[in-house]
Amino acid sequence: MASASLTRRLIWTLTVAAVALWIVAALLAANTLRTRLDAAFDGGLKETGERLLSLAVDSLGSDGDEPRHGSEAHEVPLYNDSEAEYIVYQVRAVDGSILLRSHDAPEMPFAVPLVRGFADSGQWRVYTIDTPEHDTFIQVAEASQHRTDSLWGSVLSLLWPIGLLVPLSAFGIFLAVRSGLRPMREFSAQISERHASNLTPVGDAGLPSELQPVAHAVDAVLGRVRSALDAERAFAANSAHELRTPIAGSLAQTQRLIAELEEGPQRGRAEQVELSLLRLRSLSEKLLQLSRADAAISGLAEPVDLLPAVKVLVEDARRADSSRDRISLSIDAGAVLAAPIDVDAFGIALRNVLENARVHGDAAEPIHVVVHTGSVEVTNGGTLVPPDRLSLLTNRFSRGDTEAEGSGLGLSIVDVLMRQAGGQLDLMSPAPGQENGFCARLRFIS
Amino acid sequence: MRVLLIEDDRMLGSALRDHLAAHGHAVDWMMRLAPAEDARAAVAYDIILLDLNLPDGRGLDFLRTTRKRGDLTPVLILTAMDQLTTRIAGLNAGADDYLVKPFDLSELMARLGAVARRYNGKPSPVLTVGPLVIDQATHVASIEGKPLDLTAREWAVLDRLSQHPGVLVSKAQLEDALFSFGAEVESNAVEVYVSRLRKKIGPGLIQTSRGLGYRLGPG
Repeated sequence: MASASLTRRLIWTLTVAAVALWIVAALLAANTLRTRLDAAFDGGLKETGERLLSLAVDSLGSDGDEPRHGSEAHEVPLYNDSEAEYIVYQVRAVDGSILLRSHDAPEMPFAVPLVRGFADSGQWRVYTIDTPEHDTFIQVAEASQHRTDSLWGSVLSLLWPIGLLVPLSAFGIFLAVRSGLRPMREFSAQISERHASNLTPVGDAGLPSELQPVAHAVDAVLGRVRSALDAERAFAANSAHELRTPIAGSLAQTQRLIAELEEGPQRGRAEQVELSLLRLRSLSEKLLQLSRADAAISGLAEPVDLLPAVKVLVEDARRADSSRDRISLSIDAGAVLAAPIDVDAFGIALRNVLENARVHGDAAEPIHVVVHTGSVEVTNGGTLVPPDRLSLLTNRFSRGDTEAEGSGLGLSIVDVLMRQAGGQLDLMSPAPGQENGFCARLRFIS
Repeated sequence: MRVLLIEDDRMLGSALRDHLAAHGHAVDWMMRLAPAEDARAAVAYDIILLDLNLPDGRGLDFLRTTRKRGDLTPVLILTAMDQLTTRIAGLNAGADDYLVKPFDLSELMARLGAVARRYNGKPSPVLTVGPLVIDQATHVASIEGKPLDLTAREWAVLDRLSQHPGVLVSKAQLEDALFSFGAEVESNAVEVYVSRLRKKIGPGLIQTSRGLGYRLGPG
């Protein structure tokens, strides 16, 4: 299942919430507006009525001494009747007849009683006021539709920004979330940089307070992992000392015994013991190397120069070899061999590759160690290793088709150490440029 | 050679002491750094075999102190720590060579001889003095191709004299090479071994400077 994007979820939630809030706010504003508009319009209607009443009464008086009734009511003409009026009036007699009406006023009387005050009559809002003599009434009316239109106009002007608000708020929230999540992304990047060789605390510097407990928890976990790995590495190192010393003592005592014994069955038995001790030495050595490889000793954060180590290790191999001149070392002009690998781990890796060449290669053929930039190749003579067997050589306790003694662990250890350092062990047979032989290349990927 | 062996493991230490003695070297075996430091100050050793992890301190500190005091005695480190960095640290501290346990005694003897020869400025293990040929690598001395049957002590006297052919070696220096601490030394022991050696290699190859010492070389 694809993991949900926190940013997308926040954008959706916040945008929907903002739109909903805006709509609620617009509705509340519309409600208030309606009340205020009604009050304002009613005030205007009332003021108009009061002003018109005296004018209308005077007008009726100037038209004749007696007001006219019924169908005789006449319409007040307009100087400019091009636009519809939204405020109209009727001047009515006590009996309800219309004495006078404005240009757009209905010919029929408003269906409201002749009582001072406001009343609603279908599509009209009507204000009624009478003369002090209570014989003439004026009803000023305003079309309800006018009020509704005004209200909706105002409400719509409040609502239309939502169309702009949605993309703008989404974009704003996106920027805010992106900026707000930056410490989290940086924190995440810091955590992803941690591996077996880099278990330094992440720290809470610069982190927002919400993330600080997470940083503390991560550091606590890193601390426990570091302690466990340190303990494992210390155990591997201490085991080396604790195991090698008694083997060294037993081997030295046995070799002394052999030196002191005359030829005979007892000396033969002592030589058998010596042989077993030598096997034990070799196997324990490999198991110690394996335990150190499993304790992830190899990778480093920064590259180190490995050329001095190569020279020391080749010199060691020469001394260990029965034919000192069999092993040659050549370094490409200007070659740089620097890689983020622990020097001791590299030492174990190259020592195993050299030992593999010495023990399993053809003793009559030379061993060439060549350093290129970023890689070391160790080539030895010998019969071809079939591809199916070649691919198995890095398996633990896997041995080639050879008469020589071996633990079957050496190349497996090299493979583990190289992978930990981000490098690779390449095994080739025949060796490049040859018809047979074997080549092991320690390659560091830059 | 007079060897200072600093090793806290009894089984290994005793085997090394016996093996070195069997090859004609006088060995002082110390299991702690403090007595080893006293011995180093008292005796001019030909070589020091040094373990790195000792109960009362680190062998590397002992080595650094030794070098700081201007003592250039060759040091061969014997340790169970095989890390390249430890080894490089040992060599940087002034060690002449480094042997990781467990090792073959033959390998130890070869390294010991190589270090001693390097120290004496003689890269070749074979030395020829007139008809006498001394192979310090194989511990075989021969006259006109015929190997001589030398005891360990006789070899030790010849080995000590052959380190600097033609140079006078005092009786005390020969005693140092022959006997370790606590050994019962007869007052005429050196004369006895030199006399036996002369009988085997023939007269005229070891010169006596009365009251001063002995010198290897034709008279």
